[in-house]
Amino acid sequence: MRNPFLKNIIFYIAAWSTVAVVDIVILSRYYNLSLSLAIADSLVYNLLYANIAMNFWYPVKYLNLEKQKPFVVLMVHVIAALIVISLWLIAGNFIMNWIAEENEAYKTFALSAFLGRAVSGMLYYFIIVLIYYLYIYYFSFREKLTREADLRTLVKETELSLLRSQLNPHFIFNSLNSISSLTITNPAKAQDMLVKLSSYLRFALEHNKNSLISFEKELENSLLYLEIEKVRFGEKLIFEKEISTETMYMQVPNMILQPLLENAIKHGVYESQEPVVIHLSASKENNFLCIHISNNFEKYVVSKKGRGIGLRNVQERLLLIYNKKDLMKTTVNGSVFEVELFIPQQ
Amino acid sequence: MKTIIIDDEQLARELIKNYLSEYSSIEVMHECSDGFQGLKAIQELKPDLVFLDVQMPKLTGFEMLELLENPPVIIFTTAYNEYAIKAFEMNAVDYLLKPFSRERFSKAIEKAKEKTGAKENNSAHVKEFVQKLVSEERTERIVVKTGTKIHVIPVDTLHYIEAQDDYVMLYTKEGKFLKQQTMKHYEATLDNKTFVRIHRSYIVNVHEVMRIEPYEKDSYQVVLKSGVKLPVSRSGYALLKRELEF
Repeated sequence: MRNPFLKNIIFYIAAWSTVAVVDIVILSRYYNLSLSLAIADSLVYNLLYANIAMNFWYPVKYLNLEKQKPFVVLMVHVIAALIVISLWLIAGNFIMNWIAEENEAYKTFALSAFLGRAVSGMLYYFIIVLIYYLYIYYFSFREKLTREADLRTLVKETELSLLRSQLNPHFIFNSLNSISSLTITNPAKAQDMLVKLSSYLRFALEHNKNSLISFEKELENSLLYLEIEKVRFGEKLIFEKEISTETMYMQVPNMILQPLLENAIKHGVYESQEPVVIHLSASKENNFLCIHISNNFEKYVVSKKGRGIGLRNVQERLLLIYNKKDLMKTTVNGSVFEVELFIPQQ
Repeated sequence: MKTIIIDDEQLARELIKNYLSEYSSIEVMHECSDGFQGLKAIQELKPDLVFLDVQMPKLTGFEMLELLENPPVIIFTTAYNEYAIKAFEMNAVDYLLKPFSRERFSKAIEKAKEKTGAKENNSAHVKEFVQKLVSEERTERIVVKTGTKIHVIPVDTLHYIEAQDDYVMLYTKEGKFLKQQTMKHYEATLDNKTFVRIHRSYIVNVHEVMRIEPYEKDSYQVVLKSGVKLPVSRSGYALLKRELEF
């Protein structure tokens, strides 16, 4: 942040000019100094002060009120003010002695005005410092407001894209089409699939964005999703799972598995003619629930798009919920894609 | 009327077959589960009507159509209901949004029957429509045919594109491929942060550029990593300058 007076230098000059004019009037009217001496005195002291005051910015800027104790801040400013004012008076006195030379009247005046000058110097110091502080607070307040607005938009966007990925319309309409086909050839199976699709959609719609649920429940819903896809793709989709029972009561964020399985299906099954094996395993390691998902894919196929959006979503959510990085790891091993999640447990 | 059904889901194919069983005049010759098979079947069996899914492994329905010189009457079956639908309507090719009713299906068949009568017109329509559709989407891969082989070229492996009359020549690490397409099309649909039209006749992949050097007076040329040198026009130089920020 730059010194606000540097940015508004005209205002600064105008303010000091006013003070200088007032001083001239007071000096000539009440202290009966000759006009030329009054002008000289006012110019010397005010010009000196205006220049020195520019530097008050630095202690204000580097002495953070939030980090330091108020007493410390106050003491620093009192000491700074004393030093600044002493220097100011000595320098002013030196220059005025040189200008006024042997003028006895001025010397008497200077002596009697000494205390008043010191007090007004102190007053100026604190007014200027106060202005600086107000400026800084106004500025950081405004910055905070914009940052909060930015954050809110970000959260909204993440939520929205999450919702969109969970309620993937392509998946829903293709499933409905499969059901439509089954109503003719196999009504019982059609009904079964319709119930599964409904349960899945209900779960996806009801979920509260960052709430934790048991792994058992999350797994149940993910299996629903896989079973629906299994009806669509038949032998092309092979699913294997290896779940340790102690993981069942562990906590996971809602809808964290589905995007990963969807990713496996999108890049594995959608793009392949050969059967695709999706393998899911879960185990407890230290204080983490470790989930591992792998799928094979056709290596030479150039995927069209959408790569990584689902994965990035999961990563962002984990970061948001646990405030920890590296909770998700992906590796490509030949024609096998693997993703690992490490979910912290309380 | 002879027809082929192309869809990667068996249940989806079965539904169409089932709906078709009411039409004695329509014979299902073949079923395919991806774009490659579909392309082969259409070329060999020359059906009058094709039911075509859009999202399929290896080759999408659109990419497959692009490779056909004389496309038959097409009825798209798709779960997408995005901008594509408008284009479908405007170009009088029918489409069925999954899931679709028997009534809607029979309307599509009626339209198809009319179309097969005036097939000449339709080919042009389909071509035009596919062009339009393809040009609305960001190009991520380019499909070309050399003889009987089909190459799927990811755009990031492209080095540069050269204009050749009604065609363009695509230069990649694997060699060069001729494709019937316009420079304007690629200029519009390729990511313009990566692909820059440096000259009337050239679009270059900036990741392949090794250096830009003066060439004669007042003009420049780019030298690619492969050693190839390409001329840069004045406006091309300005574009390069903007994208590479030098």
